[in-house]
Amino acid sequence: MKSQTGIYWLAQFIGWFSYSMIIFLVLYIDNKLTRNGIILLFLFSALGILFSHGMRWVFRRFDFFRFKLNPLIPRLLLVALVSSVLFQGTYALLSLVISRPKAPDSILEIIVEILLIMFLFLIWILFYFSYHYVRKSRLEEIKNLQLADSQKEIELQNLRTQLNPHFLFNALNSIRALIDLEPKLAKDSVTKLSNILRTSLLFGRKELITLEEECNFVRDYLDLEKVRFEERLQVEWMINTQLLGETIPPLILQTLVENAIKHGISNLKAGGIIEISAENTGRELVLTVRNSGTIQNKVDVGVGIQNTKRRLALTYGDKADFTLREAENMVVAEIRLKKET
Amino acid sequence: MKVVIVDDERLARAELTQLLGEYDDVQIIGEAKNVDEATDLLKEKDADVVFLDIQMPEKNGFELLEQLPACPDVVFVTAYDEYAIKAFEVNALDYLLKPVDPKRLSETLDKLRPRISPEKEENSDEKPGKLSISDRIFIKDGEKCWFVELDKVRMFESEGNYVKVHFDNFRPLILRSLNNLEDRLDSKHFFRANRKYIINLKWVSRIESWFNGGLQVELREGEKVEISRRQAIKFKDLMSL
Repeated sequence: MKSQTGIYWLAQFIGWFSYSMIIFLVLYIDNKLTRNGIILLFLFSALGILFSHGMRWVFRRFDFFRFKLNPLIPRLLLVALVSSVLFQGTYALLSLVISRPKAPDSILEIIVEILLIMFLFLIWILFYFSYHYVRKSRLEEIKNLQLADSQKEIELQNLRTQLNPHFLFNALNSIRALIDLEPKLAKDSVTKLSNILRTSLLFGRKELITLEEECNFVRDYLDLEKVRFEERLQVEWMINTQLLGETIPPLILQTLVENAIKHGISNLKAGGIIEISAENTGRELVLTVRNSGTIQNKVDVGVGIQNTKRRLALTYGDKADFTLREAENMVVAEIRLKKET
Repeated sequence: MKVVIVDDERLARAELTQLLGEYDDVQIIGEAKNVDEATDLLKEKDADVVFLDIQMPEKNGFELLEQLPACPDVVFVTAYDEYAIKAFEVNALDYLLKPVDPKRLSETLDKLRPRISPEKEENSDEKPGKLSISDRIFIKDGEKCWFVELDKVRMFESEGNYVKVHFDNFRPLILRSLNNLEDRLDSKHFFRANRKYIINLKWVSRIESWFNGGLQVELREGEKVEISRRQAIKFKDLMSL
């Protein structure tokens, strides 16, 4: 706010000073410069600052900025006219004290003088309001950008923390059966399930986690699904251990594994295999989830796939790539993340 | 009551078996881990109730019901399936959510008991393969599902490769031919009026002579169906003593 006021006063002085200088030069060139003339010029500028400041006070006091253009213009004209009349009156009175100018020839001359001042004031108003509107629209632009940013943040959070309820209730159902049949496995499963729940709550607040954290999560998840699917689910891990410290968005691998189960394994009577791999191609980190089965038509528009694409785009922009394809009787989902250099 | 459990997960079947084991009047006569196994099992054994999981590999629970000739009483058992629950809120016999709450299961069994014993005995002397008037059929048209007693069906209307089933305010389509349906329906109750229609005789309210020696019948809901000359003779035989 302070700096805005500073700019305002600076503009006031520079504006009126420039105006005075131009008149000064004109008078000088015409050789009409007198001592009184200079004093009057100084007086003129001082009154200019005083009355334009008065107009500013009116604009702010009656909040002229809320008006649209059509109601605004007549109000501005009125303010400019009143200010000009007052200006001219004051100026004429003070001039009498300083020098003895000739009395005005006619009413017409007075009107012309008032209109001239009004013209100056209208230019002043034009500058004032233009500056005001440019500044306001820039502030709004910044606000919009911040809003878009926070919406992006909220969207990311929503996408992040989706633990599939289908999985949750099926796991609980398996555990309930295990309590009598295999109490030890039941206990293990409860531990794993609570790990998963706790971690998914923590992950929800983070933008990035390490590959190691993600793998541990997926491992617990798959262990629970193995309790459910038994021999129908085989898992193969191929993680380059040097990559465990790399960071990725939380649950991004998990979403792919979940899809592999939902659209792959759970649709096959005899079950199948899921292969999870992380490789380094030098410039890219490549995460792959392969599963037995074929791509069904609907998979492309599946929520999981769309969420993954959206999340990668929001987090990495164009530095990440996701593909889903079929190869050697397997469905291959692949994420490629370009490394920052 | 004779129960069949259909679920692709061994532990889920074990859990339900254990829960149902508490009841003396419940006898589990078979288990199946997919739709094809279930179809064979249900053809072979006469079950009163099927506890049916919806999500199973290759074919889901709805597809089982669609490929069964007549529909036994069905209780859906599902983990979390908004879609399925929505589809059945209208006219589900019942559904249970996994893990199954024993109290909730007890309520389900209470609902089932009165439906079972007397009716089934009656049906046992029917010709095998034929649907009796009290049998229920399962209809799935798009997202909507119905269990309909044949009693309530006013007529079947042929529509290309499909048959439109008229009951209550609904007219869903099923993928069957009218001829195929005619073979399966009980001819005491359902009558082939012409190439396009099979009508339920219980719903006939008025009969008028029609030109060319045919007849026109009006059903209680106002639908009018013409009976061709050839069928009219059969119809008169059937309706007179």
